Amino acid sequence: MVAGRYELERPLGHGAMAVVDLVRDVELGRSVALKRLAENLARDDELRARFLREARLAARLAHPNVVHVYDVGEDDGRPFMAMEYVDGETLAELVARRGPLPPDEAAELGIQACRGLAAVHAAGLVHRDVKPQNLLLRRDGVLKLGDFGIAFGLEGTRLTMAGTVLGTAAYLAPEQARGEEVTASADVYGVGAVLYELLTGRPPRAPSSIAELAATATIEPPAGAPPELAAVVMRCLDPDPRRRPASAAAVAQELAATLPDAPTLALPEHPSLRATEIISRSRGRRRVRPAVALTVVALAAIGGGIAAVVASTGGGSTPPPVTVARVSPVPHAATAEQQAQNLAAWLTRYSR
Amino acid sequence: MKRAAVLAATAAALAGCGSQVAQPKPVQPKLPRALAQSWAQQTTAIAASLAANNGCDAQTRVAALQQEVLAAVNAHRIPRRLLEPLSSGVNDLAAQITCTPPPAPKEEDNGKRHKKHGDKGGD
Repeated sequence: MVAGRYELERPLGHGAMAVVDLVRDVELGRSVALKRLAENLARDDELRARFLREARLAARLAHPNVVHVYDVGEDDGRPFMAMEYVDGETLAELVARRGPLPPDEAAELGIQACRGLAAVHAAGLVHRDVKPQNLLLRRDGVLKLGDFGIAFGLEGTRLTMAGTVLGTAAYLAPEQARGEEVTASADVYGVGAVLYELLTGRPPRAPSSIAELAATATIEPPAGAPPELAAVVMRCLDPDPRRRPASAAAVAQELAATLPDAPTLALPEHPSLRATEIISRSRGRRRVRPAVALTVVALAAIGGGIAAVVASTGGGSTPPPVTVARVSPVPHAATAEQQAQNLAAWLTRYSR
Repeated sequence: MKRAAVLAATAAALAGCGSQVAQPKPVQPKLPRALAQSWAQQTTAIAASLAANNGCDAQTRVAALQQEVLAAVNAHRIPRRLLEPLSSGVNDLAAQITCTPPPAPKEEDNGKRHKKHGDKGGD
């Protein structure tokens, strides 16, 4: 029993830094995933404090594409976080099982990952460890971004741990590998690397040393992918963070535009922030460039309040494209009763 | 200057009219009416159970709702754009509901009672 309420059921996985078990929350009567810092690392005061601090920040996030963190604490000096248990498989397992995915399916998964990341970034956090192993696909097709607590702020430690870093290397942005300041743009790079793997069955890079990892390497476009989708992926993988798409939400929009059936685009949740401006709430306040803010206001005015996307067909004489209205998610509520009411209202709204 | 302003205003007005004509009405994806109404009723019943502090009943109901939604998804009855918000909404609701059944009477109580009787007899 951990912290007097979590009854261990079975191990789910373990790495160099943490172990994850499926546990039964005996107080609430549900299964959750319990992640604990590895015993040897729990003796490190700084690591322990950082794990708890970042886990508490992650616990504030509530988004359908982000694994919910329910509880954070310490048990016998060992920090833990209780998270939503996602019954499904990781994208790494999906690719291992099926190989390269059809472009539309890869793009759809990328959109979900970007929505989750946009929520993370909107909270002023940077995930720093976006990779297929940390993206969990539930059986019903909902993708969840997971693995907080370890990911935040621990990149320096990872780099010193041979074997750990090389397993993650293919998805690290070059500036992250060099130990430079990491912004949300590093997560955009991670999304690009994940998409690349979904499309080709292999990561964009396979460095054999830390030095090679930090170096800027030439990446070939994903073979077989439609050109417009390949272009989005390659922009995400740009070695220069300033040349990557401005935000995860922007990537979601670009991916949606590659889908064939006039896709719905969620507007960026915080379009006034560029990914390169989001460092971490704990490190400094976010800045908004006036020019960017003005551009967003102008775009909103042009859009006329309609959250829709017109799929470009290229020709000037083509008939007006069909637009699809934005689909709102069911608003998240603090209580189950309110959540049920929100869902009922949503169902009524989207009824024919 | 004044003329330029008038021209600009006219151009803007014309552009506005043109775009209004050209702008197609956005298509709103919709759930089949019968399904949506049935699920909305079920969800309202779940809210009522929760309001009555009957989490166990709500949990049973939400499990049934989840099954129905899954069946509809598998039968391709849900528009693609509604799949994610619908399934997330239902699953989020299910995750928030807890069932705490009333504690069962413990066997130890009987033993204690017997003991007490014994104690009393001893007195």
